[in-house]
Amino acid sequence: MSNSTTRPHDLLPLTPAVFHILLALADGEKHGYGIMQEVAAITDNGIRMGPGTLYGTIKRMLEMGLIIESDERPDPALDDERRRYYGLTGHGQRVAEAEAMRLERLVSVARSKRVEGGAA
Amino acid sequence: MENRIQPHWFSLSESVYRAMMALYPAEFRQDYAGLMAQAFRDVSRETYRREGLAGIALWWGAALFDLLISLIEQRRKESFVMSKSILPQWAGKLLMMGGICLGLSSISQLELGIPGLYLASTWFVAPAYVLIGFGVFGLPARYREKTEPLTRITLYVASVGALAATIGFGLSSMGVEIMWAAFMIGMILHLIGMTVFGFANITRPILPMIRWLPILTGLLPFLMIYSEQMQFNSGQTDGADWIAFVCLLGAGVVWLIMGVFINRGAQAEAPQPAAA
Repeated sequence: MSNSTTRPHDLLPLTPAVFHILLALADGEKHGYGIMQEVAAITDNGIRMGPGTLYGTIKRMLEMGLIIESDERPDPALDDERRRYYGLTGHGQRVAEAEAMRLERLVSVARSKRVEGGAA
Repeated sequence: MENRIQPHWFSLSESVYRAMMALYPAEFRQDYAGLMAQAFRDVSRETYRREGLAGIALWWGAALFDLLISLIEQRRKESFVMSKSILPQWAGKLLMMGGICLGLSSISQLELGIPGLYLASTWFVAPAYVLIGFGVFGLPARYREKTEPLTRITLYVASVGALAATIGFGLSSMGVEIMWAAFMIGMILHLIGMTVFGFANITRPILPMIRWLPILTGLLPFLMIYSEQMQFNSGQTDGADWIAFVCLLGAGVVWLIMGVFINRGAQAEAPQPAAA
């Protein structure tokens, strides 16, 4: 089921939803609503992911082996134990890095052509 | 104003959202419906806390759009393995029942002065468009081989529009006035969807026996809205109630006839005993 043997570059470019979820999970496991909040935060509320898009993308990312459902649960007293937590796999980490490098190269090209934001 | 909302609005809102998840493929629904409802509830609470009722209305709009997009994606992924599913088989029956409810709701346009009749007949609009919304949603899968991608999208838009209009109608009738906008937007989406589907059915018929009928499900309610607007603008009431009554009743009858034909087709396609 898992496609973790796929080379990271074969998955590029990532859709915005996949990349944002990878970024949201880069600093630790989160549940669905936590991911939605993190995506809103890192995009300055520019992207408010809906539940359908979120879980449709999570399903696809689980199948691709980019993320994994965590077995560990926080203290039930501190959180709703019905929530599911997701974390990055090693493959997911490498794919996120490859996508970040791809975007970085694009930004370099944009700078060299003076089309970066605020350059006018 | 904002403090008027009671916790039961959240559970009602979540229940409606959960009900709409019936449109997702069973496998996806089984795995994620509970989690999606939980995320919807979390966002609703946070949005209400920060932005009040206006924020909730906007969130509902965003959630409906998100639902539509993810529905199309999930349905496409599941390759529309719908021959075993209930909606395509029940599409005809749902449309028949929806047509009857819409026909009954047309009585409200007559303003006969009978106590309770107006309210009772008005409330038939809600079940009418729930049944029609689910019935229309079954059509792309029901006629999978005959429909083009654009036709399927118009039917999904019409379906989600009908369900959104029902939610807007229900909540605005219960005092959440801002949801009237959801009713209007949903209804316009539904009518545009059905009108475009109607045109498509004339040029490349999916329902050849009734090729001119589907367009009326969009045009008749548009005519009703137009006549009511004219009535409102001119201040004249003579005749306009009857036009609205005939349009709504006509739309109900058209849905009923469409339902009968679609249901008859489903029965004809049912597996027959093998010939000796």
